[in-house]
Amino acid sequence: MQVSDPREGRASLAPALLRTVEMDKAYAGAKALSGVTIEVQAGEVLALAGENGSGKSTLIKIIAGVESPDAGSLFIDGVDWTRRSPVERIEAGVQIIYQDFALFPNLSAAENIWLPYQMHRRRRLVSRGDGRPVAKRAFDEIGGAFDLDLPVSQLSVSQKQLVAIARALVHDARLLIMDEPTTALTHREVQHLFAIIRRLAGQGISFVFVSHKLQEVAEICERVIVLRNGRKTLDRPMAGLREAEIAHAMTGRDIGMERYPRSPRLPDAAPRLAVRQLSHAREYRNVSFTLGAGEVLGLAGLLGSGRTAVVKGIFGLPPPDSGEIEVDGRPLVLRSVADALAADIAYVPEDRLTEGLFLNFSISDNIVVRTLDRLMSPAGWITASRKRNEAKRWIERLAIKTQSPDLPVSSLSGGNQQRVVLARWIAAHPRVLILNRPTVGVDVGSKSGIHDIIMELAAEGVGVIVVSDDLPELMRVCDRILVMRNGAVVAERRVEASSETEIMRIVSESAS
Amino acid sequence: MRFRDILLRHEVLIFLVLVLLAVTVGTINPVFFSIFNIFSLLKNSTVIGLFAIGFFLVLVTGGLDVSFAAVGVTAMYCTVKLAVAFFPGAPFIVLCAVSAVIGVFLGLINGLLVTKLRAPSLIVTLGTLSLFRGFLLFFVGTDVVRLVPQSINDFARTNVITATAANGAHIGLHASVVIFVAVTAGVFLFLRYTTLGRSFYAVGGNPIAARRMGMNVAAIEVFAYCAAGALAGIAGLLSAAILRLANPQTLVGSELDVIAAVVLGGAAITGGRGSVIGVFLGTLLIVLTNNSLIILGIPSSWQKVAIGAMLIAAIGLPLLARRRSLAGPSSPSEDLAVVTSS
Repeated sequence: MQVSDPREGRASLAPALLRTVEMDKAYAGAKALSGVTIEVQAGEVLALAGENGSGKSTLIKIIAGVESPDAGSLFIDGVDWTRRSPVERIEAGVQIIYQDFALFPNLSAAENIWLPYQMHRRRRLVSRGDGRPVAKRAFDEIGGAFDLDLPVSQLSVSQKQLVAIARALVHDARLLIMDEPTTALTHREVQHLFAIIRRLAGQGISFVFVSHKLQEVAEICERVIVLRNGRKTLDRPMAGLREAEIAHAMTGRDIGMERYPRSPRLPDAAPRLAVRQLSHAREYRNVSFTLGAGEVLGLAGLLGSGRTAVVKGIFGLPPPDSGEIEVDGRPLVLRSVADALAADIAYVPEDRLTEGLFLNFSISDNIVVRTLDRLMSPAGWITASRKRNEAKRWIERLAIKTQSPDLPVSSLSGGNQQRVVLARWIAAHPRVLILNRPTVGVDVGSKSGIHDIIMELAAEGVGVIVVSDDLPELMRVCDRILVMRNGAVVAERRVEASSETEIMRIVSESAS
Repeated sequence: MRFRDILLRHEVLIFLVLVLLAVTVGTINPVFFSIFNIFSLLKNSTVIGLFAIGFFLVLVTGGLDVSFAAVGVTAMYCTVKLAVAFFPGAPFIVLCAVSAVIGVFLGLINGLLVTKLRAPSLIVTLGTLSLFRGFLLFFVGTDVVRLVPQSINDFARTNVITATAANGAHIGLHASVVIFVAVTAGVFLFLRYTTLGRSFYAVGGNPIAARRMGMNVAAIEVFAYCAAGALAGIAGLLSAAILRLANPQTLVGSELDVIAAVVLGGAAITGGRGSVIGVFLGTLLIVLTNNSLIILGIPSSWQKVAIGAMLIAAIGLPLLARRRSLAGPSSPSEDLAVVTSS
């Protein structure tokens, strides 16, 4: 790989495909990028890592031409391209694949691929006869195997991603910048994506892989660039680089993934939650366990193992067909979510965007929505100041990064949105808190922060259930781990007496 | 599977409903199948149909323009007033063009307000509906013009096909039907075969993606409002020509039928989905419903009930069907991936 640094005046043999030199960008006085110089060679797979707010998105937007830099320049093939329009950059072969893919859900997969292509060629009349083979060819190249005539709205996330990649390819893309491409993909789909990336990279197409999943970065990328607070803090080949070094460059501190120190709990403590013989047609059967006060219980298992159905069942979504639930020794008659709420059970869903948050409402409204009856004055009023004070308390306690509690939740980064969901449920003082994949899509620093919060709550006596795919996460925060398979609990392990490999083995046995 | 997909296409379903309704009504009262009735059915469809196509054009881009009736009546009344005062001898085609141009102008106001203010189009066009109509009644006039230009009277009597009924009466297919069919065909070709037409769908499907693809979203939207205005202007003038009088108090208030026709035709109220053929069939269904209830001697207040019920069925049934197909074991939203630190 060629390395060149303009400040040292050492030029490489051929100009880099893309080079940004000393990029500066500020929004309303806040520096989003300062002096960022990066280079991408043809056929190179580069990782761009960084926490939320590190400047990754700003850099992508500047490369796409959607934003213009305050200072610095951008070269494509050694030619100054700083002042060119977004459309010209697409024509130069620079394509962004956004996290949401920017597809047209109402049009067929094929038309999504050929329509922008024909538009860029300034055709007045569309030609389906020309377009379809173009789409098909690009699609075959990346090994797509589904009906291109289906509307995009009916495709799965990974299929949509293939459409987005195919669309970029028909534009003769030479550089594909993929923003968080693996967030919503299964393990197998990620492997398929990586195979495509490797093949295309072999043909000389470059990739910038924006991610905060360090393991994936390590697997696919040849070089890593890390941004933190708008500055480049790391730019090194992947070979010989340790994950901890990347994490350090991202956060500026050492992020430990070691277990939290736990005080041994008294075995005779009355359980917060006891479930016996919970069953639900097709989903799970005869699930029994107890959860002590201050205990963190992990629930592991593959897709369809029933782990999500069980925890949702305890929250009444829908209630189990049979079985008993006791909270603090009192039997709970569970007919709906309202009964679960009345028993102080809280459930934080995995999909915070659709199930957990009122995105357009303010942060403070989202936090206090579960605690309104407590905030009400005797006359039934809720004053703005009470609401604000309550919200401020939680924003401080959970370290939610925002300028004002009155901003909409949609203005926050993923990690901070997840904290708002947590704040809402914690503010309601639950006895039992169920977290479904609490750190999906949040960066390494926020993840660690959320783990700290879980530990604090447990220390206060809340019983916590964590459902997660992330075994290191479960090993880190849990006292006990239950493994589910085909709707039944197949194993129970105390974390201090078990190992990740052992639990991994139990989890994946069902796959065989 | 393929056959089922075709059968479940909205256009096919609505066509079957249309045939079923026609056969039912025709069996009860054979008058329904007379040439006279079919011709008058088509003639009655033209105004609603042109409004519906205009409404549909904006809807495809994701907007809601409910001001079309106000635009139509304003363009029509201003055109007739102008013609009576200055060009009483102007040919019909010129009057049509003038009315369309006024419509484009009013549509431009709609489009600019929606794109510049970035306000919800439903609210903006509710505002302009009131604005245009109030402006018309206050500044232009409230009296019904009965002495319309001669070319309008001539057009009112123009038939393209003439048939002789059993009782010897001459029955003609009115010329306005030709305009309706021609506009339907033109818009169909535009939406299906031009890049601009496809970009209407793209903008309606995902405006942010359209912008990232380099489309000029605001210009496309303004164009849609202008086109809807032009069609509303022509529809307004045809409504006057059919009645041979210009009444500034008509049309506004009849929006429900038009919107119902578009939705029954399968267009998604959220934009991006639907076809002109569907709108055409939806229009026929609405007019047929109104017409057949009269033929069957059912009180006209039931027309509203029938259209309301069909509207709710057209929106509700696909939603129910989709919910049923989604039901079953919990959706596979969990990730298969199991991450290890090794």
